[in-house]
Amino acid sequence: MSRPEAIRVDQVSGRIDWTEDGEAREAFVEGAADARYDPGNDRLIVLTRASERGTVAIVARDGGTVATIPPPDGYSLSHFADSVAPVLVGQGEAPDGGWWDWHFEADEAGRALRRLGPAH
Amino acid sequence: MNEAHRLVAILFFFLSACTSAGVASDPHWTPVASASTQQAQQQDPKQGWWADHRWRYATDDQAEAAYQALLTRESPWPEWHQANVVTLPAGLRFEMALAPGQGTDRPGGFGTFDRIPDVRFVRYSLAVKTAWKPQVDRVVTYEIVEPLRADTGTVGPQIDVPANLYLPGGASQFEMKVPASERARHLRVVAERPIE
Repeated sequence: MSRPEAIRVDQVSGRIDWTEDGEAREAFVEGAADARYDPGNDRLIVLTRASERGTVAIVARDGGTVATIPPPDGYSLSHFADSVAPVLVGQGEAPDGGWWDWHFEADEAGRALRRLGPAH
Repeated sequence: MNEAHRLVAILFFFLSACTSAGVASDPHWTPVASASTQQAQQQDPKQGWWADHRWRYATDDQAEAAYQALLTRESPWPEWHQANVVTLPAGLRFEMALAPGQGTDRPGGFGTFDRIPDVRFVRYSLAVKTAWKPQVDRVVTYEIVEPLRADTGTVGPQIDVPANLYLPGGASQFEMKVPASERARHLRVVAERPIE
């Protein structure tokens, strides 16, 4: 089964490009800063700087943006936790259980970010 | 002093100097892990924690409860930590390990006054679990430019369950007591370097 590979983001133009089975694909998302493939839901998760606190755009493999998710209340989206997983770090305005920063992932419906565990 | 005694004295002095210099100049030398800890890292992570911390508790049951609390609460501070919130002054420098893609204008909430030589130090001495920060690619030296409220103390131990590791902690750490959106304005970047 093919999947997006070699995902790159041009932060100036908002262009996201990747390859699938050797073919070039692209999408444009305003303010795109970084992107990861979400294999569980077969979509791209794009972190944008369209707002000061960051936003998530969900992009289908045909390049269309299918949803936009605001940051969770009380958090600013900072970066992806690693180079592979579609998990984001949300930096908090207040601690919860002793932790200010947490990991988040987009839910299956693409409507909200679900909190996972603490981020350091 | 005869010739033999003088040779022994010179040899003793030479070996002492080599030992001291070797430890002081080895960037991988970590002063915070005990011998028992290092042995236990090769074994069950609970054994490592037990070797270092069982003595703090009157009974095995109390130690077991503390161990379970560590697993569930994952406090970044040792159990004995007493909050010590101070105002860190302008001019004070510290280090922080950052993830790939993490901008220096988006620092995390924890810093250390120790030098971070490598990722191993981040894992073992700063006790940063893989789940908390899956990847680390560089260290940033920040300088405080606006007084910063922070809880200060020592890194507590952790058990990295998926990695099956005991992380002893023990380095210095502070936790910024300001909202994430205000962190960067208290700081300026002095230096940035890659680590492995």
